[in-house]
Amino acid sequence: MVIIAIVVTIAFPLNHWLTLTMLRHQLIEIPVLLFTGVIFGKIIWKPDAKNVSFSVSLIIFFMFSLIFWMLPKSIDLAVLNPLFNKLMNIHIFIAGICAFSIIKDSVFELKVYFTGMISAMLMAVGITLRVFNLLLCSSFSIEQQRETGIYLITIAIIMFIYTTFILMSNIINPEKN
Amino acid sequence: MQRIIFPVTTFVICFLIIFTWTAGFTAFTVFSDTLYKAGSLPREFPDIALINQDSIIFKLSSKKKYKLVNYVYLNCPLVCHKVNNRLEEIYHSIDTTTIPSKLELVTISFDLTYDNIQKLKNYRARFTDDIHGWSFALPFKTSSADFDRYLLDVGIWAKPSNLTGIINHSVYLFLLSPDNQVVDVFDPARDEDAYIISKTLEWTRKV
Repeated sequence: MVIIAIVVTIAFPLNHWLTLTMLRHQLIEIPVLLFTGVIFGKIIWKPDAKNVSFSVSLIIFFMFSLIFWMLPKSIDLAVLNPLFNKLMNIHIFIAGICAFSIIKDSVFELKVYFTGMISAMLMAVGITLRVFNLLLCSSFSIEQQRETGIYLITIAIIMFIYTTFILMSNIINPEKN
Repeated sequence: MQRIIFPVTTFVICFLIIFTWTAGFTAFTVFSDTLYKAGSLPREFPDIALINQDSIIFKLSSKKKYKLVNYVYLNCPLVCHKVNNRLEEIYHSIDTTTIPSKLELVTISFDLTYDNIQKLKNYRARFTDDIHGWSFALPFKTSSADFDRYLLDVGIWAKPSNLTGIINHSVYLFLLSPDNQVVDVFDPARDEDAYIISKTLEWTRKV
């Protein structure tokens, strides 16, 4: 019930406020929807045997979701078109549910690959936003673009450290995973 | 075999969606997407009546020479002036046998609310005196809705930002042939002046 309330709040009353700056759009709207999706996944997902084929498909879908909604064109249209924005909300929420399954059911190597890929992707997007001296998203300003870039780089570094940490702990203590 | 069908199918579907959405990995922003949707080159340039800084009404199609056209608004805090300063350098880099007889520069304002003829005249006066082959213009008797449609047909994206009111817009330069076809599009954010000059001269030599 709380999850649905958060999603509805983001999709409706808070939506306009969230789309006013790039930082809110990229670092509040999308991550909150992802995390609510993950928590929702935890509630509804029935644990399955570790199925590599299925996990790989979910990783591909999750990466596709992130790439698609980080394209400047998609960001702009999500800000300008309310229907497209709702489609983004639903898509990201579903991607969050998939992320839970990946975290929960995947083999250890896929989990490392998953977090490593996200970290690399966020780093690439962050650097692009930070370094590019031209406006990529028409709905925002170049200052907001740079600011968002810095935060994305920070998140990517944290995720990279986390990935390295779980990888190292597995090397030291292989039975743990 | 069954184990790879599901991931491969997922990958192919996702790849095709991104491929289609970005027009074959060429249009990642609304600026490039608007240009892509305007059509491939060469294409007919949409023609509307314009009024220049001296209150002369004209159409681009009536100028039977090459035209290098860009779109700006005078309250722009930065990029429009940067592009126009570069255009001034481009103008003076091209010899007088080409400008204005074979080539003319036309800068069109898309801010129908705040820009007017007097402002255009004052703005043009800030550049060097000898820019006879460079006109500054506004759309003449064109409604806001029609002009928005026109800009999309040209391939220009221009939308005011929610917070600041700044109009975020494309900065493309359109090279039009004497028969009013768009023959080349330059992106000043990526293309060097030397490249723009050489390509433009390449076309004008064909006259």
